[in-house]
Amino acid sequence: MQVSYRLIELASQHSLELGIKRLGADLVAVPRGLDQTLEQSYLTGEAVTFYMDRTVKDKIAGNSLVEKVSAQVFIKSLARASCCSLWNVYLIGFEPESDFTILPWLSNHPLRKINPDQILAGAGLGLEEGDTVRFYGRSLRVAGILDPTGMGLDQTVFIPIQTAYLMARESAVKAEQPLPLGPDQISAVLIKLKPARQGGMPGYRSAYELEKAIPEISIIQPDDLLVRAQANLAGTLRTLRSASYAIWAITALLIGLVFALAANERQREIGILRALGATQGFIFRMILWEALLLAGSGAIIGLILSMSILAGFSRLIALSLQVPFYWPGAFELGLLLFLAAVSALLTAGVSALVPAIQSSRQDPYEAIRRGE
Amino acid sequence: MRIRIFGMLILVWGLILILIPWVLFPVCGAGRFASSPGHPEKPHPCWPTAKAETVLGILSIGIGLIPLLKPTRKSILGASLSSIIISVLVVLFPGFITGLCKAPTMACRIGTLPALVGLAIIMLLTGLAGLAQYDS
Repeated sequence: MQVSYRLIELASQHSLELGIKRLGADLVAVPRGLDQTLEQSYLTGEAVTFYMDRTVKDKIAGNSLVEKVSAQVFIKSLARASCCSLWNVYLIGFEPESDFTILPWLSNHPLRKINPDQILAGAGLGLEEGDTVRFYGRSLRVAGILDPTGMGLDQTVFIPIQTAYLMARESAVKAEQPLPLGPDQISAVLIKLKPARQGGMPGYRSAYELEKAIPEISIIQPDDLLVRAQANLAGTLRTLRSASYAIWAITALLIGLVFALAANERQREIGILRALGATQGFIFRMILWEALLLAGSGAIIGLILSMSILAGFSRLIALSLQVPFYWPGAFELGLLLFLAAVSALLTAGVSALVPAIQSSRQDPYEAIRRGE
Repeated sequence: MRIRIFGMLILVWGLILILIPWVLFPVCGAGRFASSPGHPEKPHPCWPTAKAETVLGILSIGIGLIPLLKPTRKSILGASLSSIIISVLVVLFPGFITGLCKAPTMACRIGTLPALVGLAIIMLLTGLAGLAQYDS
């Protein structure tokens, strides 16, 4: 249980670090009051659609704290519609000429530019480069797959914003339902702030100043995602942690009791061994080694089982808890498993100490007599 | 007595196999993922898998009954071999034969498939233990 809660915590943090790095922006501006909606969407991948006027982007760009901006538009593909090959998928229209979140990925990729009829797909959609998908009756080709983050961004498709507007315009004819998106509408503005040496301010100050200057927006800071994920997890982790400590204490007591009973049952055997010349140290080590071997094998089986269950159900756990999940690195995982095994061995060793000491100190004749 | 226990185990695994795709870890559009009344669900690609697993579950229950009703060495041999074959089919159906929905975040992939794989491993181990019992 300790491995489970610690692994969920680590995997969630790891995923958020990757996701926030992918986000690339210092701040994200959305229509007033919709910041928490978008935060939850980033974590779970559930598509949300809201719009504001494009003039907001110009207002933000004109602010002295801002270095550059890039607009995005959020669309959700139709459910159970033949004009969409993937249902309920999050489509994000982005501006290739000003974007600074997707382009850094492209710069590391052989494909340096994205064409109007191309899209970039998140790793969680099961698509491959070269696949053709249809949204609102428009066919688009997958130009590349983004690296996984474990966050909602893995279930997202990135499409050039002009293609999104064209798709909306043509949807009245080509799609089962029209896409209600006008060419002057955007959903969010990604903001890169000026560094301090150029007159910039820290993120939280800049967020406050921007919200004060432009009342129609709310600002999301990347740290907000961390806080939200931790809030989603807090209750569950607290329960798991408390349960694991309680189980640990009970297990330690039970091990001590079982070994005390076992040592009591084996009094005659121990007495005979002592009579044949076994030292107190030998008896002590024998009982302790048995405890450690049993604990070790139990720890190995338990760790294999818990890792298998977590590996198999990781996506279900992430969606149910509404937190991102991305496996931590091999070193962190190995360290966690090693510490879990060591704690199991220590617990068994400490619990079996008293029965081991008592058994080793018994008089051989008394032990044989009592065992009959 | 031990032969009856194996029979009971195979029967219980069969019952769980029926419950997994419809109740415990339902496939898309089934169980807790079903759409509201008045909005009929379009068939999902994972439904044939759910039906196939249900049939395998019923077979498993029938096979588990045999050692329960007639606890002989032959019955445990037959039941164990059948359990091993069924456990392989439990994984082959969603993986290769009937398949599942394409998107990795669909309910059938994140819940049903891992549960089926886990149960298949347990059924395989039960079958192997039954064979070992037969040998001894």
